[in-house]
Amino acid sequence: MAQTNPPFLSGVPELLVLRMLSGREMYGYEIVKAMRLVTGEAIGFGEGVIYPVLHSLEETGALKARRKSVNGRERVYYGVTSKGKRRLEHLSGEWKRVSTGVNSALGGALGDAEHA
Amino acid sequence: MPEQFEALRLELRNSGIAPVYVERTIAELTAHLADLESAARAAGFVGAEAERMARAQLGDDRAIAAAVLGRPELLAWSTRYPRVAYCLQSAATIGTLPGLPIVYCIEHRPGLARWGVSLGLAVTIVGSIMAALNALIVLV
Repeated sequence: MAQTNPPFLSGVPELLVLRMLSGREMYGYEIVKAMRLVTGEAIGFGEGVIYPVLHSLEETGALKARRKSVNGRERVYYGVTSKGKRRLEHLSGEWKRVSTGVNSALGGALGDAEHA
Repeated sequence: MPEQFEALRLELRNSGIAPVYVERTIAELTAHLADLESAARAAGFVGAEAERMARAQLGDDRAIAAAVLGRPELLAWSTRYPRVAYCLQSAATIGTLPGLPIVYCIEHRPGLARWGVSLGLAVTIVGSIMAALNALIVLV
């Protein structure tokens, strides 16, 4: 079976989805639009891959889904559960730790390069 | 529009993804594609070009299938635990076997009743004849 992300990036889609949904319920298309907006389109991906992420988070109890009819169209809205909020806190902490480490490594590498 | 994703549906089904998630993925992708097409039209694109843009933005079927198959939690329970499923299926079959004759009798009540009455009558008649013959032998 194909692995879509290298292991050390495996929490990023979950982190972004949980962050987008922490404010309010949204459906898939809305989530992708919000992600593009807040990341300044820095992360490029085929939009369809959002659904396995959503379903996986739902399966693990981090999200709850409910069907809602809006303007005659059936939508599946996703919202964060209390378990999802805990997962978001955990993933945010992990991401901050990793990004701090990477930034400090880049800073060190840049400093070394400047000294050379 | 859902027939656009028929190949994807088949691939996910054949790979053991839970049917509920297969159907939801297809339904949500279909709605998403419609939203993308509407957005493309609103941006001034028309006809086939709007459709092509929307499809490109959604991503190809192979990438979507790979993303789904990369999440084992979306697999059907029987695919995740095939041995347990096999044992349960066998247990259910064995458990059902003793009940089958009862179910058969309930389903074929009228026929069995006719056979029962016929058999009862035959036994009674043969028994009566035998008893009569026995009595004759004793008396003679």
